[in-house]
Amino acid sequence: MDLLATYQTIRRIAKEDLAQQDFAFFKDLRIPIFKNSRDLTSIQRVYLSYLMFYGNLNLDVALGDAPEKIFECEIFEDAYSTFKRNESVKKTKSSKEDLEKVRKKSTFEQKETKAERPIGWVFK
Amino acid sequence: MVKKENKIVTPSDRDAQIQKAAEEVKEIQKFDKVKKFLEDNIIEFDYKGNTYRVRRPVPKEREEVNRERILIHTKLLSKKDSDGDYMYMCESDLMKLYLDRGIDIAGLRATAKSLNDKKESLSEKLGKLLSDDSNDKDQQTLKKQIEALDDKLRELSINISTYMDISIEQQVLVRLYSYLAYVTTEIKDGENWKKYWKNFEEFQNGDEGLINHVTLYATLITNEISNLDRAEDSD
Repeated sequence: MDLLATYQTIRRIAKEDLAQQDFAFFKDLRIPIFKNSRDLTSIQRVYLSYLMFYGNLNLDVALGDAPEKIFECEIFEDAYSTFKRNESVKKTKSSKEDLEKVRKKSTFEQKETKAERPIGWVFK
Repeated sequence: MVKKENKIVTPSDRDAQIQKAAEEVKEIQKFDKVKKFLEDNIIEFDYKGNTYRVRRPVPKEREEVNRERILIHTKLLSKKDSDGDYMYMCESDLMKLYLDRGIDIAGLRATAKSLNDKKESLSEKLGKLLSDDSNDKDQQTLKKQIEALDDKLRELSINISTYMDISIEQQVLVRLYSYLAYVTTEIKDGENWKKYWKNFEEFQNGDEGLINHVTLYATLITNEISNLDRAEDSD
């Protein structure tokens, strides 16, 4: 057993249906999946991130957002995940820009309205 | 009804089947072993007729390992040879020396980063094709390109590690994991477990095969190095 092979094994364990079911079950009930609930080792953190990684892929396949084919090999899994992550970043960025535009427009309109107001009416 | 074909099983077929079954059993054992140590942070194994285990260090042991880390780092930093020159070099000094000898470590790292960026870009393209469920041929081409990049990245990483292996930072890491292994290795004695090596010198003079095993296991069940000095309670 070498370091790289162990990480590979961890990934494959996290992909297993049983591990995914346990993870979902424990997560819902807020039960720790390891004997130590905090101060996790680096390898436990890697395992958790793979559990979440495969949880997200399974969800996308179940919702019909991704084809079953992504599970054909790890390169496909990573590629789909990279695409999805970058798409999400692009969407967030675009939403922020839209929000900024709306905010700027609304500030400008407020200024315009303010300027059109007759000065005296406030004191009436 | 389809007549079942009577296939003659040759000895080589049988050998292949036995080998396949053995590999499957080995794989299941490996899975179980990894699952167990993920859960409880204890790796138990047999070696030359004895049962050993490597377990996660307790806070007091972590403090001890951290003390050793500081000690060895300071020692390597200050050690001089008979000419009064420093014997060991930090990564930054080593990189300058390599550059003088025509080996550009920063350049190699930049190449690795650029290959990684390229991989990310190809990966995103492949992800889109998969998401659209489009052209299988293009998917396979991109897959092969990513595999080729992975090979190059692996080769580069090994080269850089080999060059930088003698730096103080790397030597401290090697010592740290060895010390961690020494502190956390126990041997089964009846129903009990007891610390295997009495002192670090005994560990250093120990069985090389066993040392390789336990050092690897120690790296697996510890936190990141930066957390070693955090002597907080573990559950």
